[in-house]
Amino acid sequence: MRWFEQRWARGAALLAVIVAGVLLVGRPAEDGPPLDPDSSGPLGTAALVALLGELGAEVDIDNAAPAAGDEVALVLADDLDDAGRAELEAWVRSGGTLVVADPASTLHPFPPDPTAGLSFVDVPVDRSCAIPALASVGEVEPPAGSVVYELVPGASGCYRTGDLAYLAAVAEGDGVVVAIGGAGLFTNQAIGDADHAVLAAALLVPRPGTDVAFLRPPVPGSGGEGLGDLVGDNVKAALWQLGLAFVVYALWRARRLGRPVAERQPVELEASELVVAVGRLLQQARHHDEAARLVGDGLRRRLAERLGLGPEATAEQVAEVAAGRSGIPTERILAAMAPPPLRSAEALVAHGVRAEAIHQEVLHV
Amino acid sequence: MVVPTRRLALLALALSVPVLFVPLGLVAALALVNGVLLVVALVDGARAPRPASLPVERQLPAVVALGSEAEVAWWVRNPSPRTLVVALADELAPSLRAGTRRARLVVPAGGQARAATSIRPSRRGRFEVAELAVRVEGPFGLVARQATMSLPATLAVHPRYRSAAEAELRINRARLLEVGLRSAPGRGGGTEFDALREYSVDDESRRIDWAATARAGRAIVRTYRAERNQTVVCLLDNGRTMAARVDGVPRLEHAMDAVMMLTHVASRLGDRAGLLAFDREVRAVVGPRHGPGQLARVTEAMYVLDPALVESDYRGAFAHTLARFRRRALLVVCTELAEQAFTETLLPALGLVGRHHLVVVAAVADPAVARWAASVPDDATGTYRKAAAIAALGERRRVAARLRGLGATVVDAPPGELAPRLTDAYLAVKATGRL
Repeated sequence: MRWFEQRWARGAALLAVIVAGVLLVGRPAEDGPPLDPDSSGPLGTAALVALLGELGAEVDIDNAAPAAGDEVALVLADDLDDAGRAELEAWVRSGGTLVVADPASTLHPFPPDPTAGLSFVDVPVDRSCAIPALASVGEVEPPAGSVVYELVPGASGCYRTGDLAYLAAVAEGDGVVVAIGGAGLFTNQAIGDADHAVLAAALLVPRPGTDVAFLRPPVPGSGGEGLGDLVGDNVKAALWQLGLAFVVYALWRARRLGRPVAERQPVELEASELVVAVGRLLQQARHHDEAARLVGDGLRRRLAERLGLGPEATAEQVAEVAAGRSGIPTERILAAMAPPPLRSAEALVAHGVRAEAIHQEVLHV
Repeated sequence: MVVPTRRLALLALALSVPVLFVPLGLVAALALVNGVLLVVALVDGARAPRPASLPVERQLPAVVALGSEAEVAWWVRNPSPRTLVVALADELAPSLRAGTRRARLVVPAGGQARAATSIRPSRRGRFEVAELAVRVEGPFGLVARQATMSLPATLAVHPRYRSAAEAELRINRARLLEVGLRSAPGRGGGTEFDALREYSVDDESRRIDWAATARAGRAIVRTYRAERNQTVVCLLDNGRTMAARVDGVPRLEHAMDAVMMLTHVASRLGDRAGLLAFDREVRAVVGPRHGPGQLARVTEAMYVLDPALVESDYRGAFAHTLARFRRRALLVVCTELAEQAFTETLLPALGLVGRHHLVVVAAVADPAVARWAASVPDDATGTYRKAAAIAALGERRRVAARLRGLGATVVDAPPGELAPRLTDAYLAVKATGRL
């Protein structure tokens, strides 16, 4: 694992972990996006498509406006551009039935309750309904977050709470626009509740063989608008101005006053580095005996010089004189100056300590 | 060159508030605000004087000793009728350790302003200070004009002469001995006859001049002085072994201190001191002369030396010495006692000079190595290092012993002691008349 001690290796490992985490955590959910007609997840609408198919409808799932032969169109989430929206409205006026389950859509004329903004309905709602086609539909349980609409003149409503209705319908040209206060009841997790399936059948498949255009809801994040569209022009101008100020600041900082002054660097090598290197080599080669011999010879030389014997005095001569002066046994001094073979680095350390101890005892330093 | 100032950046930043309230839309609001700002900045830049039109001077000392402090000053005169804000940056190398190399001056109309900083060089050598960058702000301080002016100057950083006090001490002591104000035991006294004077109780009886005593009717002694006009040549090794650091500075610095002290003492005592610096080739030569100016000449020759990472050519240096200085001299070789260099190059070359000159080899010993050799180890690494240090000292001793065997005097001393001990060796040579 020595390679791991290098900085680049640690950085690469960290990067690999991050990439793996992103791939694992950040991969798209297999359930698909909400309201997706191909998704079998709780928020998908595959069950609705299957139901329509079972009832004999010809379901055409597409992003484009319905074709001339389509009789019913379903919009769960309105992400159409102006041209698409106009095309769809023209299709309604020519006799189509449009079911819109997006309260924010402008495809239907029903405003949400103005007194409370988006009005969240209390479930269950009153099933009183003035639309004959829905007479056979029983209770519905709008999910939390659904809204109720004010009815415009000429419109009919079902599932009412006071003057407001969860489902509203109004004629538009030769066609009809039906608005539902949310698409939640068509999801896989809710389609089996109450009479949601019956409501879907009544609205979308009035007879077997109905051609249904299912406008695919947009994938989250695929819209053309961004956060910038929420910001006003003046604020944008101020932000641009901040950017320009930063550019001026960068220009000011980028132009330094005076060039950097370069000079040749001196050699940075300690004279004692060679001694350190030789010590390391001795240690790596495990030359305990050679090191012990050097330490012993150093002791012999220092004692000989201090005792006036001259640097060439033998270990025996030095030991004898030192023993006579200090009272330390000759054998002990001799063993420090000419040590027996050592088996380990620990023995070498002990030898070094002994040699210095004898030096201090003999010379009283 | 025109450059924006911090004030312009701050003004641009401040304009981000009023732009919020300009009811013209995004592009128009930005264009209006920044257009006005751009026009004002252009006017400001146009009204800023050209840096070259301002008389600028730099006051730089010619010589600074390593580690000592000196002052660098800049003067800016303003011939225009309004106050100017001038910033300048000088080309001071980092190792000069200037307090700052930049200054900002407010120069009154028709007047001048001065800025200064201190330098404390950490490195010896010649420093060429050539360029001065000058930036002059416009009247609104939004835009400045900047230019680089050529203002060449040279700063010489001389080696540190740490042993100056020791040198004076030895000069005074030698003079006291010469004039006989003090008597000292030992070998002093010199060999050259100086004068006769009346006997005192401290005088040796062998110094009595009996003929003069008979003529005067009282005891008269002959006094001697050390011989003068002798030649001392320092051969300063500038090779790779002198680059290694001892006590935080290269060996060469310690050797230079020793050369300066020896030159100082020798020239003040009437001898002729010279220098030859070499590595693979001869780098500097100062002919032997006496007099108070010789120390300055030797220092001037040495301060530009940088250790060359090559093997020193002792033979070439000695041959050059023999060719230049034929008179018998004390040759002081300031080098390192490295066994390999000694065996391969110094030893074969010593024969060239040993016959005609007296050779002293001076080297600086590393106190760290001596400390490790005498340390009490507390782990295996320390013990192996102790062994290596003992081996290194043993090698050094062997080289010194072989040099002594060849007739050379060896001075191997740690930093701080090298210069005094080398000078003492020189004084001992003089006192014994060996030269």
